[in-house]
Amino acid sequence: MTTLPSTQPPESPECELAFERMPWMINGSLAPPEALELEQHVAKCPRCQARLDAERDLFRAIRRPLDNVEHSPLVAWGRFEAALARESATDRSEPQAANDAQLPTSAPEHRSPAPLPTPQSATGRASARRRLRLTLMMQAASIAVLSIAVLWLLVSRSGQPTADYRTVSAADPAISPAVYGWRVAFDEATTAAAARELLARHGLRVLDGPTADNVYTVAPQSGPPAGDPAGSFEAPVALRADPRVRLLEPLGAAGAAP
Amino acid sequence: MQDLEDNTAGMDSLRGRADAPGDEEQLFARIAARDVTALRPFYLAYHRRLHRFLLRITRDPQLADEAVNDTLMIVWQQAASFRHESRLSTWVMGIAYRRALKALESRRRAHAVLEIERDRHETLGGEALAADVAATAERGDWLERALATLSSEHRLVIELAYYVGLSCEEIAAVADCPVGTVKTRLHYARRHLHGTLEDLQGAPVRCGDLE
Repeated sequence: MTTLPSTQPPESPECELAFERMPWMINGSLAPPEALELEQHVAKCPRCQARLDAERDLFRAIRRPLDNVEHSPLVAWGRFEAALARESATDRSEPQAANDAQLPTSAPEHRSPAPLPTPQSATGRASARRRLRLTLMMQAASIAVLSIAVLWLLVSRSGQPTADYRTVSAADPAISPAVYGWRVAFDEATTAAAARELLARHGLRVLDGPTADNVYTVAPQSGPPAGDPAGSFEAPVALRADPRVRLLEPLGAAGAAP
Repeated sequence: MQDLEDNTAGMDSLRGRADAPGDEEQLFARIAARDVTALRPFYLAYHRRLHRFLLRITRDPQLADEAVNDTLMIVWQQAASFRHESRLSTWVMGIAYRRALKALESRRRAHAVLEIERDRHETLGGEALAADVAATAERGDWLERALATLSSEHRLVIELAYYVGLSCEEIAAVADCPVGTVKTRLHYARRHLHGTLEDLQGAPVRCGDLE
């Protein structure tokens, strides 16, 4: 196996270009005129010839087939079919939860009849999702109970009605400036370019994101509207109809800063 | 050169058969219209090429199957939103790419100890380094170890170029990044891999034995 001679004098522009083009010539995607140029250069440049040999060795090593790998697409299809059946069943029984979970995009009536589920293993994703939902619901219930308890404590200690309780430093909710922005979660299939294009089409600009979960923080391109705050929610409501949007929530509702 | 041609013989199956795109487009149009009967032939048409790519990344047939199924489940669920701004196969491979990225990140976390080992490897002295490199060569997994030291993005760009056989522009579309970024990542990845190979020259086992 040849190795790349890296301790050599400075490169010529032709050698740099040849080096850049080598992978594409080897994998067959380099345009014929450029491939011809590369071949002509390599024929008169021993260093680039050695590099091309090394590159081909690397190519062969990477493409070496994996040993003893069983490939059974029909078995995998069985698992897929079972997962599909579970998805359909979940969507029918928990339409809202399904929307919050990850990917479903269409109304249940558009779903085709579910194939028969196979009893054994599947991708495991649907069951994991159900477990996640259950966990989240339990967490939400715990938080709700805790919140009520804290609230009751505050009220009972101060002896004042909750609606009137406010610290000196807290802003009056009636006059607080609205937080104009939203958190938008896209499905995994949506690329950054597609997400930005969609957001721009709805008059939104990206403040932050995407996160690892493909979540963006966005705000109206024109800034906060000067009148009716509720009007600012019109664009995201239209955005919500897009099947690629998994989740849309105003930042204020989540308590996050813009 | 003959070897090279032999090695590239399987490339069409990874990139998609030249005579099939029309059929796949028709099946996909039915899938977008929620026709579940089109799903099975589409699944079987894509499974092999996706499985080979994802197996290459995960090194685990079952994990690869799961990743394939996740990819094609997203295709099923998101077909209606595909706007044909790229080739269908590129869009599907883009979804698989993101699954591969996740798989690599999971493996990276699970095998964080390898990073520690690499640090140790880098701080070894000349003699110890040669012994370590020789041991690596004897195991025949030098390439795997070298690939594991690349970032996920660098690893995937070289896999897409050499294993899947995509063009620079196709990789840019799959990875959703500029062509210049693909070139830069590939340049770095190749330098890194060749550098690792060069280290092996000092080892008792000749590099040719690794083939």
